[in-house]
Amino acid sequence: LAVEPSRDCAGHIGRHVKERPARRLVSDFVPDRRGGTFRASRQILLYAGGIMVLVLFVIMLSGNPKDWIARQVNEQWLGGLLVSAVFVSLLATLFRLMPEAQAVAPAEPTTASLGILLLRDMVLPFEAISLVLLSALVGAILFSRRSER
Amino acid sequence: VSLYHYLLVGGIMFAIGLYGVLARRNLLTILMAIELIFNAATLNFVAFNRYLHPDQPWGQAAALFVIVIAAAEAVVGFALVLNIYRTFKTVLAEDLNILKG
Repeated sequence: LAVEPSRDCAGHIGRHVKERPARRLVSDFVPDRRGGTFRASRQILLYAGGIMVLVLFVIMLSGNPKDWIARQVNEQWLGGLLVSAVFVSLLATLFRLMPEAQAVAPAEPTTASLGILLLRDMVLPFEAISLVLLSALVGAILFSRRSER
Repeated sequence: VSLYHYLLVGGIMFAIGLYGVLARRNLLTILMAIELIFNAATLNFVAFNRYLHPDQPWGQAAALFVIVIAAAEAVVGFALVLNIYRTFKTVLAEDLNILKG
């Protein structure tokens, strides 16, 4: 089988299609075959479960009809827009100057290597971040509790 | 799709978040804009990892840490906004000026 060297991150999918021209398998589209599996699943889990609550609260609290005509931005909105636009244009020109980097290897599932990395080389930051999460939990409960007097 | 496109999307996400932080009045939308900034950083980490060092998942581990920090920040920030609303009966950022001398 002649396998073309994959030139971008979708290249290995194209290779699959080349080997089996009749039909595409469902597994070609499952993110398990594209690398970054574990991180992607954590991000979906956290954002569907946690951050979505924040968004839902915003939706719930913004149902008041008099908010619809209220001003949504402050007096510095023009300056903020300007800063953001300048930032984007600077970044775009900066990225254009960078050497072109292409994906060198087809993506593979990285769950095992990520686990080894987290629990062997980064075990101290890992434990520290669990402490951060615990303190955030306790702090949130303390902050949001009604003070009974 | 090259690294440039990922970085550009990340930069645009960061700029939208920056504009939200600078210009929005509502504290909750400012929190959402901060989430956008975190996600831009995460995207850049993963893109750099994928394109420059695909054999070592250090960038993905860093992205995981960013996600965890974002979750902690959202939790604490939301609790703070809740408390601010109970105390001052407002969620608008310009009304919270009691630290002004």
